[in-house]
Amino acid sequence: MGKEVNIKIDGRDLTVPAEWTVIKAAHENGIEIPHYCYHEDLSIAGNCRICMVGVKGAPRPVVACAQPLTEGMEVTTTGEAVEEARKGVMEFLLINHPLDCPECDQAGECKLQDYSYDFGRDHGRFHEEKVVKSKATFGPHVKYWGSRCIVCTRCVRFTNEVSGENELNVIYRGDRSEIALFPGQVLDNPLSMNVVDICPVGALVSSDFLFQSRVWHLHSKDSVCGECAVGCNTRIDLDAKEKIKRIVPRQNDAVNKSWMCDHGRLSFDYVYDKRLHKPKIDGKDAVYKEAVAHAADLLRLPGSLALVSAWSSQETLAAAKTASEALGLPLHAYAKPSSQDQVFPGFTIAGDKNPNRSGLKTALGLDPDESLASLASKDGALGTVLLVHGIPGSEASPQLKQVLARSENVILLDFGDGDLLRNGNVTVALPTLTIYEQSGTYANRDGIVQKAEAAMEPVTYGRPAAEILRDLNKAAMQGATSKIAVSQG
Amino acid sequence: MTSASPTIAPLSPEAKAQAALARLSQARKDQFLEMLGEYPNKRSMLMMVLRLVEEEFSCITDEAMQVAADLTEMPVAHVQGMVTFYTHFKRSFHGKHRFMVCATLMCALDGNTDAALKTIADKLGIKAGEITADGLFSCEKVECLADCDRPPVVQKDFEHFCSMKGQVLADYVDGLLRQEGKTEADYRGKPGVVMDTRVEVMPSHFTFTGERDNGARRFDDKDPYLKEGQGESVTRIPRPLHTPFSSPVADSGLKPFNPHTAEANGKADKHHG
Amino acid sequence: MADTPAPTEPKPIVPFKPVILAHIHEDGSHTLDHYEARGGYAVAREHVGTTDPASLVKLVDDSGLRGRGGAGFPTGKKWSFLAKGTGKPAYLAINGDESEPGTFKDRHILERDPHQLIEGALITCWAIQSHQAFIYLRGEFILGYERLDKAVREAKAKGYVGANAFGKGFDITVTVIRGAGAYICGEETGMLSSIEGGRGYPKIKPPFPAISGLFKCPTIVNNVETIANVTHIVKNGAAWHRQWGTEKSPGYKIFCLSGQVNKPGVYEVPLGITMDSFINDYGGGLRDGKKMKAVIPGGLSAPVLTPDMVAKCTMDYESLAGLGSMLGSGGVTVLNEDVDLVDSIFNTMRFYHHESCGQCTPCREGTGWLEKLAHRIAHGHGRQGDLDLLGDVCKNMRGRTICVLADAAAMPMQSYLQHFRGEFEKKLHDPGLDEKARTFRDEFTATAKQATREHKAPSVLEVGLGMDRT
Repeated sequence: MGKEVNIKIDGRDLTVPAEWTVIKAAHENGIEIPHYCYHEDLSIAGNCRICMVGVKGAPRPVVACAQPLTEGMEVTTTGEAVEEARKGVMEFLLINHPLDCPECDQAGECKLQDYSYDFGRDHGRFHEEKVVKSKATFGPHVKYWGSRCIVCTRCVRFTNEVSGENELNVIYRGDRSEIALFPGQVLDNPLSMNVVDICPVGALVSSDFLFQSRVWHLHSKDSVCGECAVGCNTRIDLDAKEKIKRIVPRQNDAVNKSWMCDHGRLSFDYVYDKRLHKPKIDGKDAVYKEAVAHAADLLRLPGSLALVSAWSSQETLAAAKTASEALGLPLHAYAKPSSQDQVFPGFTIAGDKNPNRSGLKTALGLDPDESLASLASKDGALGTVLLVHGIPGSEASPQLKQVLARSENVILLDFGDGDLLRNGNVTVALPTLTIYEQSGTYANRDGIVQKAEAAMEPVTYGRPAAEILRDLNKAAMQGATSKIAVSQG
Repeated sequence: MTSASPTIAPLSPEAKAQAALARLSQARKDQFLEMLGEYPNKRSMLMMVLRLVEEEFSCITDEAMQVAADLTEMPVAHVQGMVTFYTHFKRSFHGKHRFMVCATLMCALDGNTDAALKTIADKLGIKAGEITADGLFSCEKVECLADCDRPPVVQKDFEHFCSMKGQVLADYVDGLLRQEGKTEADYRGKPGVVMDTRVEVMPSHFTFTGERDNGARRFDDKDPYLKEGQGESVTRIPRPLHTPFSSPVADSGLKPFNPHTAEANGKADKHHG
Repeated sequence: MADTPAPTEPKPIVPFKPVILAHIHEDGSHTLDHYEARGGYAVAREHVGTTDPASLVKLVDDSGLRGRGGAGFPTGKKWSFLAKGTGKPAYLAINGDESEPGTFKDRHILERDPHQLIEGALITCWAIQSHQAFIYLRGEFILGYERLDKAVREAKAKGYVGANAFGKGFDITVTVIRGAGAYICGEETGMLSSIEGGRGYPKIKPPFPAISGLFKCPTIVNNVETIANVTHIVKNGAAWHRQWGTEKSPGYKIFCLSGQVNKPGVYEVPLGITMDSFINDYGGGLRDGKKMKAVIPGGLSAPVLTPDMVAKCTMDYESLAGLGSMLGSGGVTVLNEDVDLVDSIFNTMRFYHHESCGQCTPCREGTGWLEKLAHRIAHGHGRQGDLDLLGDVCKNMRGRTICVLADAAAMPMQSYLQHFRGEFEKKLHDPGLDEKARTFRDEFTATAKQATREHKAPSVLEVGLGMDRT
């Protein structure tokens, strides 16, 4: 611990680290100070001037975000001087701001609206022509409405400090200032949509979410992204019909700070596309109980094994372990193919595209790549393979396909109706749920264990993989047999 | 990220700096290398490097900005931010001969600024903020040029004149016309064109391949810049020099107020510039 | 305005001859040969590398030299604030970005006697133990840059500037940097941002440049005229400098006289002379027999003075501060009775709007608003309540920004409203307005007055006329 100082904010005695500024000291102690340009994970700019607070002994209000702490400092965040200052700054922010609220995406979560309501004047005194700036596309996911911009430079600092490519900068001068790219450049780095989150007004909008919904029609559920081993904490926003409208990051200093990559944000189309709705036996729709009984029969064949993935949650892994021990099935694992880490100055996108590799190691002691490789290297036919899939997107790796091809039967637990279902030699297909529709616990690359609660009602008749595994186990133990003949030999 | 071909690996900053140095003429190359030792870091060289490329390319074009960025190992967006911030850099929208007339109070007194502007307008047909159609002459109002005891003060590129009005100014403009092989008659009756100082941007209704069309495309119904079939690739859309500011607000008939070219906007400014 | 203090008692007049501008009218005064022929670089040769730097700082402090760029901060005191023992190099940044309207003194130093500046820079670098001086010139100084650049090369060739200056083992690099048309780069931290290679955005203070400035190192920022003074003070001593001027404003200063006088130009005069004597004895009084209406005493940012105030005014920092104005950069502009002050203030507001850097909200938006209001009033479309609104906007801008450009824009506006309100009101009621403007204005007079009152919901009329919109 470094040096600490004793200060007073609104009469409350606080002891805080000396290197903090007033605004951090206040926020960490539950005192709200309005701010636009300040962001915990970016450098200090001090240009919006809304965070002004009174300091005893200072002739006029100072900006809380840049004011260093001194021993015995007394800060007031209320009172007439502070309110007058805030009212003045709010008025200046609004004089050139277009009356776009009816069509602006930010409405409902817009700090201009909120602070205007809290601190602003109740009528306008500006009766001149407003400054109009350009509207532009910055990249495949980000659009810019210049007239709404308050030039807080959060986006510029983001591309400077976090994503590192410095695509954005302020151009022109004075109240004609706007944000722009160099002609010919595009804001297409994998972290581009973070600038939409940090923009306090509706100047930077996500093309994906543009005009999709009003924010007050959405309800949110906390979750964790499963697209890679970082495990960014997310918030899923759903509309009244339980359709996912957007995914935004939640702050977690240990995992993802305030950021998230674009891929993770946009990976929810598969929830609605091409889902496996009903259990299938040999390609024909079947009833769940039948399918489970048939699968239990198949599992009694010699040479059967169970295959879990690094996408499976801890609950699934526990159920798989129990089932495999009870049924005497060897347990193997595989993972979604990975690539290199993408390292940015302020963030890393893991190359490991599996959320629970570390949990797999802890719970089952398996390394998925070694496990699949050893399975693929063995010769000879396999009996039944119980494949607990549940991985969105990619096709199965060649190794996995080879293993499936060698097996007599494949019992597939998956939510998708795609390549694996059609060409994977599948006998019984049991529908499961996506990561958003079921709760699950995952351990990220640093071993941090996070639980993602179910964010939405299931879209299909699928069930959590853990539940299906327990049902399989029970069916096998109880000796239930299906009416369907089991082919052998 | 630049839209480079994926098969070509990006150059290292050192390699880019070498390539940029190769773009300069020998004299300016020597100037740059002489400068290198004097500054604590490359970023602080930017103001002088921009002057260097301004001289090399005769005005600061996009290419000049890229060269300056590569030489100083800074991002090009940063350089663009600088170039649009400072008003004295010569840009591609200025004329070959750039007149700058001081319009601040001390020169505006007694109608001195107006007299100078009127002479230029009479001779070349251009008002403040405009450029001649052939791109040879441009005129703009600038702020105080620090010679307030001898108004009006006029600069043309790198020449500075005080008490520049009446016959003195008229003769000077005549001299320039002769230099360019033109006469006053060439500009009589031909009004000037408003200088387009805007930075090029991809319009808001531009969508990338595979992007969900959420209605931004519907928002600007007519786009004078898009040709048939354009909009699928990530290329810049060339913006013609002389089109007026286009946005939903402008198209609705309300004109954005730009007091710096108040005359150009049709608002007569009787008293002072 | 409270009771104005009596002008400081003029000291017994010690004859004064120009010091800095002494040789600017001579042919070749900008060359090294001419400079050395009149004893140039002797002071630097004597002191750089030899004299105890702390004693030089004390000497300048004792002389009472105040910053000549506009703020008037005591120079020696500023040098003594320089952070020491940080392990980082100290820098000297010389502000030659003379963009304050009405000021044109540094131009003459740079174009006609640049070696004076270089010698002062060398002595200052030794005094503050800095190895590099940056001289930042505005981009529009073309001859000034050429001559200064040449002068630095001459001095380098002779071994006065560069490695091992004067052979005393202390390196001093002098780097000339050209600006490119931004008034905000005349603000000390705006200039530092520009030298560092970026947009000229002023930095938040604290920390002050003497603690953390250029490249986060301790930096002293001084005006060209201030540094040019250093050579003479070190040569002649503190007492010599204090012969002229007043107790709080010792010495002499270069003033720039402009406006409708007979002899506008640069004048180096002792501080403390009366403004009347400056305008009449030096400037030849107002030309064409016109009467004085107003005087802007310290560059465009200085609050305006009425003729009554001018009569009480002496040219020193405290007298002008007492009158509610400032000595500033010393640019004195005299306006006669024919000048339309409302147009003048519109011109002034347009200047600040054009030059605002746009970093912080009150200045970025406020300067634009002030210009638009002033434009409307100057062109006859003013409404009742506009004047109070102008005052309120100025009040909201002051003291809430990163740098003082907002104050520099608001102060003249407030002073015009305070001293010349009648002129504004005449424009609001001018029978010379065209019919259309007058009808427009009359419709709004009644409702406009109400709209500027707090906490009142707009009436149906106001909503219909758009008066309630932000």
